[in-house]
Amino acid sequence: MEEYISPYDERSLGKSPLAPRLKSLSGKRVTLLSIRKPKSAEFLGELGRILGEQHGALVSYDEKPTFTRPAPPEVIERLRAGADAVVEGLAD
Amino acid sequence: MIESSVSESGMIEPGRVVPQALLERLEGGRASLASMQGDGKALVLFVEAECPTSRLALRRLQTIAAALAHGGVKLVAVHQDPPAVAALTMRSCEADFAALSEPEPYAASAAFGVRTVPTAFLIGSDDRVEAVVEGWSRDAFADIAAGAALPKDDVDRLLDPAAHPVFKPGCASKNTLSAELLASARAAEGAFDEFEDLFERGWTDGLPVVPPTRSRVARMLGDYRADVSLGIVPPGTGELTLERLAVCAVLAGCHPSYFPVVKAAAHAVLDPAFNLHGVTNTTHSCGPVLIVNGPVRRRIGMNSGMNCLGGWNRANATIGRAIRLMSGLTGHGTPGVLDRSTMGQPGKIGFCFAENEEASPWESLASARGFEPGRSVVTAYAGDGPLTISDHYSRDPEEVARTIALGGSVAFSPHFYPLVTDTVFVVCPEHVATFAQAGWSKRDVAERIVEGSRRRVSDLRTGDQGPFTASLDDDAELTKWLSPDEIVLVVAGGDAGRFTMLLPPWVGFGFGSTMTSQLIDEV
Repeated sequence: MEEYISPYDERSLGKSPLAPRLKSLSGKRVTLLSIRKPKSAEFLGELGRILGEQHGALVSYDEKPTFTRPAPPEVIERLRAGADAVVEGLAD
Repeated sequence: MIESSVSESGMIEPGRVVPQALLERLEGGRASLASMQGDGKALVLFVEAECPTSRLALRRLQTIAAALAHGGVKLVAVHQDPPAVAALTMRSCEADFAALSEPEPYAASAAFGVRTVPTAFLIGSDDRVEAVVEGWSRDAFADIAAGAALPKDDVDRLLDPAAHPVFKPGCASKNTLSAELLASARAAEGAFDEFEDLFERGWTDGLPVVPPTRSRVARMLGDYRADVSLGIVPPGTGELTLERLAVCAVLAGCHPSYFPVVKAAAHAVLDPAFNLHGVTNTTHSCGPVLIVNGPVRRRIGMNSGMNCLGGWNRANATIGRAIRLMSGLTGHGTPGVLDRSTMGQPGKIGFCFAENEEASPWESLASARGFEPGRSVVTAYAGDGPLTISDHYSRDPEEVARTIALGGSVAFSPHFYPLVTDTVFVVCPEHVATFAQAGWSKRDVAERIVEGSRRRVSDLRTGDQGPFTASLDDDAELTKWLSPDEIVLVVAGGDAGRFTMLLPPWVGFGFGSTMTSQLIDEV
């Protein structure tokens, strides 16, 4: 049988490992990232209140310019430097 | 191929030096067992596709493959099957460790003295056999894992001692078969179906694809260089070389004469302005719509007339499909993975058509976008499934334009005013003739469509609304489009029938996608 050529870039097939899970949210810096969908502020605000009041997280908020494109490198770097955990709210 | 053999009579036993074996890599080319092993140890597992115990061993050893590698033991499967069958076996067993294929007459198996499959040889860094396991033996493999410094708890977690079966004998190894039995085994291999194999690989949108053999891909490329990069295909991170694009074109069923169009279309959708990342990721149903202008349309037999949006023309059907396979495979934009569309629509299998320039009194889409007349151009648009706007009874161009405007007003959502993005209408030749008889230009029609969409804000207060409505009084008015510049008119379709098509856009306000055009190489 003749050999096939793959449509895939082999380098893109690796699985990215998950970041280590936090054992507790208490005292941890948790950033809630808005992708700028309507009503993001209300939803993430309530989530942040719960994470802060019930789990002791130090909650902050960030956003990326638009939900239709990837977060620019400066946003990624800000998240990496300033948070122990990030929650990204996707879609509506 | 065996470079030196140690024993043809019995199985290689612990303490003996293993024979060297040159085998076939599943992805092409050859590799020696020694090169697969590297500096550490190897656990070489002889298997065969038709043997249930071989499949059991592949599935269950996969669970400790990473831990063994961590302990310096590389797991390598040697399949007594052709490479394509071996690859299928690995995938169906969800095994992704190293694997090689051994051709007839199975000289490596003979040199190792394999009697049944699976048989595993643990080979030390000094090339001596340290242990042999015939068949499936949970405890024997657990011992090997423990020898690779795996803690007992981990071994028991990965290779559950209570999981059935703990022992299972294997099947006759192909090197032991008589000529008659081998012929029978080959007949079983003949049951291998290359089209089913491509479904198994997932190299498809759900329809059959053409096997992308090296020779077909070479014919698709023609004089183009295989290693030229067109950049990364969003939303994944796969780099698009012309060779990978040619693979997608072969899979899609393109004739090689279409490849310059596919290449230009790939450039168009990879233009950052097109935003293929968002077009693929979005929960919306849009997909790339490709519109072709110029002499290439006739040269490759594209359909711009009857049923031009409905398939049954090879060029229309496969060029659009090639681009969708590119974003879905090379770009990992597969539904449920990085394509998150709530509904999708049939155009996402592929959507490409040609403008009916011969039926149009107007400048072509390409000319309107600044290209010289007579050049072949492809334009990419992020479009939703088409909506038919029928008007068979109006003879006044004002009425026809009003009908098209009302049809277009439902784009995205009926109360979402204004869209603030370009919107494509595919205008049928009979509607165009009505406009032409009145001497109307494209601009005249576009202005009427904008005006015909005018609504009072009080009528737009429910459901999906544009961001403007909340700040405006009930008596204020909005149009669906801010300017006639946003109305993109393309002429196509059959001579008979007064049906114009709306191709609704994706999200507007500069967040979504911008139409992009590319010259097509003249070859």
